[in-house]
Amino acid sequence: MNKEQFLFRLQKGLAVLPSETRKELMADYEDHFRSGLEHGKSEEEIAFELGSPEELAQEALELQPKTDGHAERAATARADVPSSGIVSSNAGPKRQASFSFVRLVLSVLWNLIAVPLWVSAWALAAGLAAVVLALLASPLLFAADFALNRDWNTAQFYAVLLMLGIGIWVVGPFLDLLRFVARSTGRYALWNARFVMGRN
Amino acid sequence: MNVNTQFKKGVLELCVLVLIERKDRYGYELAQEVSRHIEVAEGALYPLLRRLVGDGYCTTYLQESSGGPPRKYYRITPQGREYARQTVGEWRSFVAGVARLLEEGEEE
Repeated sequence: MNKEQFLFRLQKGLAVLPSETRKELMADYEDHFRSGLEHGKSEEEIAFELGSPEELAQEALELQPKTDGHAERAATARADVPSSGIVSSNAGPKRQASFSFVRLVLSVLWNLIAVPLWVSAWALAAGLAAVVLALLASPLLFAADFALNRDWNTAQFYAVLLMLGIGIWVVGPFLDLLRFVARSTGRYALWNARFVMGRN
Repeated sequence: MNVNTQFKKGVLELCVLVLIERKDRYGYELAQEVSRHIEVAEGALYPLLRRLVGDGYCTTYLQESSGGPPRKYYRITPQGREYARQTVGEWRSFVAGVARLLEEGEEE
């Protein structure tokens, strides 16, 4: 394999990289050939010492700096579809979460405000729950009262019917609201954890 | 990729760090130095060097070479120096551990 063949195969393997990164790497290998030739080696010798262009390309995709999200995705995509000649048994690049102390401090600061808001949202939900339960339980209370005192009160009876009606009417929307608050709290907590541990 | 090549990749990082810690070097020079001691696909150096730069362990600069375009030199950063120190320490204790294990095997 001469220089041209080596660089051509390498270029093909690096196709998914951002063009800037690819150009830099290609320039590195071209410089390497130039230095090798200056030291009296043949193109074939240099290419042999460099190794398989396909394997090098694969390595280059995996070794992208962690901040380079584009190339990381590219490497993942490539790991799924190995090009001819490469049997890749290694998993994609490591998706490392990067914990940051600064983000932790930020998170603590705004949670000083956010957590009391969440607590009040849950307190409100608990208050509403008590009201809904009382409405639904009113016939039981009325029945118990009647059983104990044997004192029929028609006005109270209609009031209880009305309360039961309202209770049945609001229980559905209330459960939806409860679910919404629970889900939002979960999402908020998850978002915080992700923020502190890095986006991945 | 077999264990051996993964292993070599880790060792290559260590070797490169130690070499540029001693003095600034350019890519081909690093490849020659490493190859003098261990058998490795020299091409693996360049992706590795890019990552070391990306991680802030070394920086690059261009310097004129005698009769030719300028060469890209790699210089270690204080962070890189610290990282090299740690890695060399880990390597030494690893090698010593393996050596002890092998010796114990011979005694049995």
